Amino acid sequence: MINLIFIPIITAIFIYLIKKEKVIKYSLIINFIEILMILNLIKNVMENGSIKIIIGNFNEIIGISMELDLIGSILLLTTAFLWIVVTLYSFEKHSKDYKFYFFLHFLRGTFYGLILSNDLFNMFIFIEIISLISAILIIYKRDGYSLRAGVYYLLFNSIGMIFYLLGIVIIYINTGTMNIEGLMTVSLNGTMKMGIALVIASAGVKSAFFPVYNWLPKAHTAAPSAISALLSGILVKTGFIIVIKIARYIDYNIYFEFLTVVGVFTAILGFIFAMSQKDVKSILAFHTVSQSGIILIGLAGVKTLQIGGFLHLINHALFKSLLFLTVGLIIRKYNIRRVDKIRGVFKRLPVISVFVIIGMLSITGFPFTSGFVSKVIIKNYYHSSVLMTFVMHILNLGTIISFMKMSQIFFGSTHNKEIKESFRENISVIILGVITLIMGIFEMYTLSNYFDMSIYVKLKDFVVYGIYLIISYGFYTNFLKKEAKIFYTIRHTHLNFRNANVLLLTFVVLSIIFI
Amino acid sequence: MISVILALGIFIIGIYGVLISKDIIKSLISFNIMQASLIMVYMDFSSLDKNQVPIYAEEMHKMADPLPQAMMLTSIVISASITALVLMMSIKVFHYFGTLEWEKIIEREEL
Repeated sequence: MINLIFIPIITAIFIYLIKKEKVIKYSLIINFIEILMILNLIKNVMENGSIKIIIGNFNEIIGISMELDLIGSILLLTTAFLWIVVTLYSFEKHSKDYKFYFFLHFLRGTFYGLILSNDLFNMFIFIEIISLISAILIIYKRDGYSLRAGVYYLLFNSIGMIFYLLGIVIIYINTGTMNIEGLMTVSLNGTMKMGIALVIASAGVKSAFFPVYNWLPKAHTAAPSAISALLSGILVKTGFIIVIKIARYIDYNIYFEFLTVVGVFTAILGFIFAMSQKDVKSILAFHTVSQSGIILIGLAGVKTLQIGGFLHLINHALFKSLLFLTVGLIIRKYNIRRVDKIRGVFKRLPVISVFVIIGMLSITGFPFTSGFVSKVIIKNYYHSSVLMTFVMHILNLGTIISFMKMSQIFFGSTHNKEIKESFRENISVIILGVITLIMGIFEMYTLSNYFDMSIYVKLKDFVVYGIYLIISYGFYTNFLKKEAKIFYTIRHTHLNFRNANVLLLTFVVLSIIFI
Repeated sequence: MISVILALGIFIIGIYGVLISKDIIKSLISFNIMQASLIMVYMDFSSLDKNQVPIYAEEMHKMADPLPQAMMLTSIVISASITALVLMMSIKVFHYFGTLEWEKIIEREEL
């Protein structure tokens, strides 16, 4: 199990030392070996329950412990798979860039470490290494805009992680151990709750919850498309991994209301910002904020709700990476990013546009797709609450409106004759798209057979989706196409670093008060 | 107890610095001040009135807890590497924009 952390890091060092293009190409074999190892681990976990090891044979209180359960192994598999896709995608653009692949492989190793570790301080180390390496990858284009985004990302996230350190200091003073299971041993009194609140607040910084989301759109739009896909698919989930790990050992009631309210605000604010953007990548980046809110609404609650949230986390990793990679290909061909300047994608790039549409259908929750399954679980749990049902409908509607705005790139025609697609570039997108497409049916099958949660697609769902489409088309033609003034104002509001820090401090204080 | 109050004071200075500084370098210094105060409070809690070295400790309960020292050493290394990376990036930012003030490093125009 520990091999999984060290194999990518050693591969990265080899690539850095040898510097040959052939080594970079053959390093993909290592990714496939890791997939085999993870499949073997999953088989073990299914048969014998969760695996637990303590490095160096110390006892549990002072040793570094690692644990792998079913949730962790699914996360590992998603990570390994997405990394293969992203590596394949970046072969076209950075084929000789050995430094890029050094950081890419290194990042994967540290992320495996974060998923496996069962120790609050070890998680801190891995999170900080992840922030460092992803900051280097964000500034990879080395232009002024990406440098600014990189500095902003690194400083803001580091200041957020200081509150994590403060939180685990408080937890350590109370429990006397850094092991997460220590949370179970003491009663949740005032200081202990304060520690957990600080940890959750810093998780909010890493996963872009409502007031502290500001670093995410900047970083996503500045990074190269392959890195945006990784950031949005996997690295944003760092905060959710903290929440999942803590939720195993403490009562969810102490943070349930607070996180649900934060999740609703995050989701609604995300799509409002998304529908007013004009940059294609900004639309997708703000949608990551919005979907983070939905995942949070799921993860904050009881077990059924948590399954919904976790499934949405995995599904979001798949379809959002698919959208970022396809849009990256379109931007590479057209060399513009304005949504109202790109025209005629459907005619020139038919294969890519099919996969963009698959991603759009999944994110908007079309029946039989993966986004539908996870959203329906969350919606079914809240079926008795009128307010939450209304919120879920609004969220779906907002998602559809902003993707309707994005879908104007398909129509019209372009005069640029050089825009053509090739199979070699598309192969990574095709693999990811096919997996995303069958994921919905696969999830429905597994849930009904192994977890006693059967989800049926009824005729009603298609009708509801149709009504959504009609309403959002009306909204789009009346408000967004004519560019109502409020959207212009929203697009041009920028938070500077000081105000973002004021919001961060407010968020921390609020979480201490309400948890 | 005095050192805890002192650490709290340093932490508040750090937060104040983060909230008002207009400059990348000043934000970075404030971040380092916050980190330093945390290290101080942690070291203090681990060896409050238990001040004997673990190997030479005559009685078990007088031994200073060695675990926080190891952990804080790691977090010092991490904050040092973050500082190094931010300084490197701020050199490049200065070459590109000619200034280090957050307000003047403008966003890119729409493409």
